[in-house]
Amino acid sequence: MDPLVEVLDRNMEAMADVAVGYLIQIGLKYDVFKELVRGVSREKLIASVPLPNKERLERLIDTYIQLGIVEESGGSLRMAECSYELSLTRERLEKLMPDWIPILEEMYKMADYAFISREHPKVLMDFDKGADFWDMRLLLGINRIYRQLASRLLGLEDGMRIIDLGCGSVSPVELGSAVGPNGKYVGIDFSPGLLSIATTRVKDEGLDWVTLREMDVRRLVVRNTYDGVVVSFLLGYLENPGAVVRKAIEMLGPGGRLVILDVFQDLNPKVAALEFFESLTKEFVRFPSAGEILAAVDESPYDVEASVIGNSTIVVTRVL
Amino acid sequence: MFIDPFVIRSINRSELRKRILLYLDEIYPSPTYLSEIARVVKSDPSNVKGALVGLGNRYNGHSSLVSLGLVEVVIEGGFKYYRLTEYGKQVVGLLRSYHSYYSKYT
Repeated sequence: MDPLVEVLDRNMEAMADVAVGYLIQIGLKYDVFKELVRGVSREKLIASVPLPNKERLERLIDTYIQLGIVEESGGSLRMAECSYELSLTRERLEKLMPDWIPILEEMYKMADYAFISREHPKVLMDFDKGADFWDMRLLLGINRIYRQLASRLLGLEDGMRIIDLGCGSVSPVELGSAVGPNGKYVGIDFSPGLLSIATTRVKDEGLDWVTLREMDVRRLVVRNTYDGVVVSFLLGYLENPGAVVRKAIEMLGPGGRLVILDVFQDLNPKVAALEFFESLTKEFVRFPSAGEILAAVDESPYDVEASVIGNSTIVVTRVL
Repeated sequence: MFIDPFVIRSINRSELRKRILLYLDEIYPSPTYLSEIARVVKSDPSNVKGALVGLGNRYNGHSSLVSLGLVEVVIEGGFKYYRLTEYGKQVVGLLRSYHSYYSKYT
């Protein structure tokens, strides 16, 4: 397997493991588990935990149920008999890029503030009001890895034309540089904050061939075709990710490739733990499943071939 | 190294601290002395000292540039000089990238 895929997958797994541990810590800290040991109705449990944001508390309980920590039956919630194992094998550890840990720690703090109020000023997960925090996330080493992987899978080189849906603030420079002055990079994002950071960097680097557009990908009208389309960590923010995948395929010229990078529900067993923290962003819906993305690919009228690589990557090639 | 977004936000709220960092970045890796910084950023040496290391109750020492790890004090021949740290250099990089963003949103 591609070493970059291995690094990406092992780090995603580690993030989910660490997130499960933190969710258990939240339960212990706010004494959520005490009544759950004996069994309690959802209403009584929600009322008894002294956290103001009850909606967030409900989400925490639902996450415990999804992770198998709590069981719900006959209107009653009860602790399940469960145990989690943290695997620290040499093979896994040598692939870890620990710079995501401080960022996750920041998100854990934000999760605590979100129990007070979703709009708490310390919660910086809004794409616009917290664009600087998002940018710091996007600059992480692990995120450079997925951009390198996208670049490699697309075979990016001088002269290629690519479009990046949900480009954020860093890809326009990294992927834009890869297609060179004879190529074309179009980045689409709905956050003016992230795009303003990206625009500054693109200008500083003199990447004249990079075009950035503020737009919701759901409203994108396909007018041109490209050699490559990138959809990285975007689908979790869409109610209907399949529709955007079909649109992305429509943008491929013959022989063109679509690279989708994401946390796929059906390939990542502890995905609910990551979703709890990602849902601090109000636009977050849920991570997609590889199954639904492949079904959307099958529905496309174009002649395409799709392959799943590791746990976080799908490549769709439009056949000539 | 992890950069706390609130450090960047707080520096953006202080024009003097921002100007000091940008000047130290300009001359990096050279250090310089207090009165030289004050002359370049067009401020009083006592204000610059406050921004660099804190000063009584006028500036909170915990949020001074030295306490935040952005600037280091170099002592040579009995004189104190100030130099941007590697962490400070990263912060200045982000300050430059976020300039248009902050001018729009703060």
